Order: sequence, then structure tokens, then C-alpha cells
Amino acid sequence: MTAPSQSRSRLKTQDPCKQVATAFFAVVALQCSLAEAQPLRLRADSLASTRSPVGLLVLTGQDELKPWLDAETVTWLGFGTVGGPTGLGDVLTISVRARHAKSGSEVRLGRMVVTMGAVRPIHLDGARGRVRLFGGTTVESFVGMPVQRGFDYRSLGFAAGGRVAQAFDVTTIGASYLRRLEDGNLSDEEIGADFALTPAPWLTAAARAAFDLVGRGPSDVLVSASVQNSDMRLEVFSTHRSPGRLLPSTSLFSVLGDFASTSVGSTVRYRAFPRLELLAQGQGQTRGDERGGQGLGRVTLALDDAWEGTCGFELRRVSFGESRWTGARGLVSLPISRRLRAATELEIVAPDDPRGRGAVWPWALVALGLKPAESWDLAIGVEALAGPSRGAETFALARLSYVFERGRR
Amino acid sequence: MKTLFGGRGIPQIVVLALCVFLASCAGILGIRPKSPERAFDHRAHSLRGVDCLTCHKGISLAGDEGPLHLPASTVCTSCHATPHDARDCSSCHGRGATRENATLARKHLRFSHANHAPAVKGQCIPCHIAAGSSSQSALRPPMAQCFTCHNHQESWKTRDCESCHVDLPKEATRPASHVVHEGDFIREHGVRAASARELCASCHTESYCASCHGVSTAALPWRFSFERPTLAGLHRAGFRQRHAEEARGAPGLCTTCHAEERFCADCHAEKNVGRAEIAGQARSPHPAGWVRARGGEHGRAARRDPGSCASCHGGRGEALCVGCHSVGGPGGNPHGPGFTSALDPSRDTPCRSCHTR
Repeated sequence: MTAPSQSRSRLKTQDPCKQVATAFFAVVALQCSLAEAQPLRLRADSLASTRSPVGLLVLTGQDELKPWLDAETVTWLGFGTVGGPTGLGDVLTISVRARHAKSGSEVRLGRMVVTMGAVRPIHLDGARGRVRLFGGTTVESFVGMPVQRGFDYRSLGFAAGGRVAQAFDVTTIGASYLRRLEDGNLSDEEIGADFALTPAPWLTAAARAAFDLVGRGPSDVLVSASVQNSDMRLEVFSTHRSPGRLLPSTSLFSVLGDFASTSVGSTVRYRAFPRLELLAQGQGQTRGDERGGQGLGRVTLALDDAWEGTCGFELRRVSFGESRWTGARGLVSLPISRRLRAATELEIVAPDDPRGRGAVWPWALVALGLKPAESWDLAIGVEALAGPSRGAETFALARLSYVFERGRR
Repeated sequence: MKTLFGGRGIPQIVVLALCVFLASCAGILGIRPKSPERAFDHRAHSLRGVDCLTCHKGISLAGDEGPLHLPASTVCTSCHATPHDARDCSSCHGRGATRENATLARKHLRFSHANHAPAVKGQCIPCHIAAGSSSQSALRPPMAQCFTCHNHQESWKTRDCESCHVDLPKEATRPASHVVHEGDFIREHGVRAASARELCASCHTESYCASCHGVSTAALPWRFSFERPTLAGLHRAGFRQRHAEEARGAPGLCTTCHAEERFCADCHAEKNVGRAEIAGQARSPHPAGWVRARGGEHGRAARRDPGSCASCHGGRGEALCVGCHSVGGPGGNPHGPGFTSALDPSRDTPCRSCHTR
């Protein structure tokens, strides 16, 4: 059994119903305990599928008397199928934040996703702080242990980093650093630079670049610039990624010396008529001596002036490296009444080289959404597909969402 | 056959059909709105010398609560003594969306006309520039207009949103400018957020990021909203069945969110697909010629997409590579041309897997 499988097995319980019930009562208890705190938000989504049921519980709370303090948590619940039905659950975030609203300074403790400038995002159990100084200077830092599933720490990891940024009138520039150790070994060490420019509401540009200090080369670079008005938006972008340097340095596959991939492309969105929107995207890609590209065209027609109902069609072509396929997708989303909505979606993918995986991979969904009350939201659907790894399959889906809010006006 | 211009012109029937088609398109495409509502012509009233306060009586003294001071039909009929219709004037003159916008602004913004009127000497147009146009109905000033004032510039710099916005997450508004949610937001948000994470955080909570970027699960919001196919999102529609093709078409992209060494293996184990040993097969999933005495295709494939290799052979699976490629082994040096690393070959993982043997 591999290490990940071992960690997974520790999360399993003998009685999945017991685990889900425990989580449910924990959330109810948390709701009751925070009932006096305001504003308070609870969102609970449960998605039952004949394939695998999952749930997502989101709770945020803020004390009205101490508005500088708030807390939130997101918990995922589900069922696994390896070796028979088993219950799985994980806390994605659980953190408390204290902040100074006027300056924008804050400190957060707990489990969180840390994204700091150009260095890679990291899911962390630890602390993150930000101080805004006079003159538009921002200093951020974080320290903690990279998240393992379900607080299951097989090895002791450590991550720390920070960012210094300076904002000018229309420009922000920043420099960031990340160092991560896994089981005593250096896993990631990166420096990054980020840049944003907004000289006018119709013109924006942003860039970020991360440099891998272990592999001694750029790991991830993105550049984007756009011009826009109410009817049209044109974006030009470029990306450069080194797959080997993006892997942890503890991986054997990070030291092979890879072929970085670079792409340059553009996206145009045009509101041709009040109810008709066109979108086109094209990009050229290179990797070593390989050349290729991909393109996408989408037409969206609104069925009413408020764009509550729409129908759309999308055509996509990918031709790069071993990935050569054409896909088409059509959808209709129709409000039947104020509380009832119907939607259907059909996608067909045709690989150039099926290699025994089927000439086309169709996928279809028919769904109904109902909002019986302000706080309740439910949806049912049927999903059917025929994919490359398995034969034709059909699944039934049902989602029930509940939102509880209590707070300021 | 009759033609439009005689001789060899366009047949009249074609012209007629084209006209009918275009007329129907005008409705379908929204060129000819079905609603009789149209923007209230503020400009025409201003040019006739009607002061703003004549209709919006008392607005200059209004605080951040209370009525909106939108004129009732009686205000209109005080001048337009013989209205052409018995219905309420606002049912056609002025758009419902504009009134709804004003109602939402009252609910979600801390704004007092009484505080602002002295600063602009009682003039409305410096803020409500749109009133100068006959076709503009959205009179709520854009946020950029607020930043022309020194106080609000400071609020923007320090991201002190709450000095104006009552509750941004609840307001669920999209920024009018500065932050782009249009186009390919899924691809763009990473580069845009790099310099402006705190700006994103003024509306989006930790849960918003974590429900996609958490290590345990991915892209759940889109999976949950299956009845809203128009939502822009990652991994939509039949992504599950084309994910391998998507990954090959964008090398390294998956690794920016997923730890491929664990994520892929865990999911494939869960679904019991992909790996030969899991499926109980005795054969390799790789094509013929993958590994040969002189290397074969696997070396080049590993450099093109090392994440793909790591997704199955990561962790203990690396022993398969080390068996041939350790120092002095038959596989030779696996490092590519110009390879460089800051790792210590005698001490650091993964170098010592091969170099200390």
C-alpha cells in the first residue's frame, strides 16, 4: 500500500453514517454557539449522486461588537468506495482573523490557503499576517505546516515565506519568497515578482513570475493585458511553465530537466447585440521542438433582456503534443418560473487518435433547479456519459443547499 | 420572376424574406426591446431649465437612510398637465432596473447626499455625469467617480471598503472596473490576484479559494452548481472523461493546483482505473518501444511531462526508475542537457536515491 493510501485509510471509519451525522451535529452545535454573534452565515450544500455523495459545509461568523474579529470554516464530507463504502471527511479551512479595517492590516490563524504574490499557493496550518504601512507599502508573511489530509501528519513539514509590495497611483509591484521543507528535505524554494497596472478603467495589465531556486530556472510565468469597454474586451496573454520545476524538489521527476512549455494567445469577447455575445480564444503553444495550439469559439444568446435564460454553443479544438481533439458543447438554461429553472447541456469530444478508447466521448446533463424558499435551494439532474476509461454510465444527481444569515441590515 | 431593380436583380421574395428575418432577429437579439420602458430623458429636462431638485425634492438633505426621493407621477403631472396615458409615468419613462439599482445602493452603501452636496456646491452633474446623456439610464455614479475625491482615494489604497460598503460579500456585486471577472476568468484570476489578493478578499472569503485550491478536493463549487451550466468554471461538463487530454494539452497546469503525485494516484485508486496493477492487469499501459536498451520513448516523454510520470510512479514508484538510472546503472544519466540544481547530491532527496548507491 502506498503512503497516500495509508493516510487515506486512516480517515476511514467503520460507520460512514456515524461520521456524517457527527459532522452534521458539529455544524448544528457551531451554529447554536455562534447564534449570538452577528453577522453569521451558514451555507450547507449536500450533493447526492448515485456515483458518490459529497457535502460541503461553509460557516462564517463575525461579532458585531468586535467587527475586527471573524471566523470561518469549510468542511468537505463524502463517501469513498475503495474496499466497500467508507466515510471520508476533511476540513478545508478553519481560521480566525483579526484585522484593522482602516489600515487593512490583519492576522489569520488556523488552516487556510495562502497565496502570496507570484510564489505557488500553499494550503497551510499556521499563521499569516499582513501589515499596511504608510505610503502604500505592504508587508506580508506566513509560517506553518503544509496541510495533510484530515490533520494526518505522517511527516513533519514546514513552510514559511513573505511578500513586500509597493502600491503607487496606478501600479503595484511586489516581491515574494517561499521555502518549504518536507520531512526535513527541501521541497520548494521560490522567489517571485508580481506587477499590476491599471492606468485607466479600460486598460489593465498584470504579470507574475516565479523562479525556482532549487532547479535554477523560471517555474511559472503569466502575463496578461486587456482593453475593454461595455461591449468588447480584448485580452492578450502569455504563459511559461516548467513542469519539472513545479513538482516538489523531493520528487525524482523534478531533476530530469524538462522541456518548458510556452503559450501566447488572445481572447476577444464582443457583445454584438444586446442579447448576443461572441467569444473567441486562440493560443499558440511550444514545448521543446513541438509546436501546436488550441482555439475556442462560443456564441451565447440570451432568451430575455435580463439574461436570466440563455442558450449557447461552443466549439473547441486542441492540437498540441499528444493532445489532439475536437469538442463541441451546447447548453440551454431556462427559467420556467421565478423559483424553477431547467437546464440541459450536451458535450461531444472526438479524439483524433481514439486508440481503442471510443471514437466520440459524449456527455449530457438534464437538470431542474428549484428555490422553494429564500434559504433553501435544491436541484435534481441526470448525467449520462460514455468515456474513454469505462463504458456508458448514467448517474442521478440531487443537491440540497441551505443558507442561514443573520446580521446587519 | 419579379426582381427588385428589374433585370437580373435580387428576387423580391428574397428581399421580403430577408426583411421578415431581420425583423424577427431584432426581437431575438434584443435590438428592439419587448419592454416599453426606456431611459428617462434627464438631458431634455435639464436643457429646458428644470432643476434636479424640482423633481427630486429634498434629495440634497437626504442621509444614508430613508426614502429614495424618486419622483411620483404627481410630480410629472404638475408640469405635464395632460398625460397621454392613464398608467403610472414610471412604467415607461425610466427603467425598472435603474430604480432597482438605486434601491440596492441605498441598502448596501453608506452614502449621504447631505454630506456630499456641500462639497460639490449643490451641483448634481459632477457625480451624475450620465444624466447629461439622453440614452443613459444608469445614473448611479461608477466607483471610479468616488475616487476623484481625496478621502476615497485613501480608502481605496488601504482597502477600507467598509467605509462605504455595508457588507461586501452580501452585496455580491461585481466590481465595475479594476478587477476583471469577464473573459476567461479561470485562467486570468491567478495572475490578477497575485498583486491584489486583499482586493479579492474584500468580497471572497477563504472558503471561496479553499473549495477549489484545497489539497483534499477540487473545483467543488462547479460540481455543486450543475443546474447552472452558464456559470464560468473549471472542470465543467464532461471534464472527468477528457481530463487526461486536457492535462496533456497544458503541461504543468494541473501541478499549479494539485499535488499530482498524490492527487492522481488517490483518485485513480478510488475509481480503480488507470494503473495496471490496480486493474489487475499484467501488461504495461505504455505503448511498445516505451523502454528499450538505448532508452526508448520514455525518457523524452518524461521530460515533456514529468508530472504525468509522477502521477503514477511518484513516491515508492520511483524505485522503478532508480533500478536502471542509479549511478553506474544500465540506464545511464537521466538528467537532461544543461541540468542544474541547488540540491546536494550526497544529502538531499531525491539525489541520494541514485548518487549514494
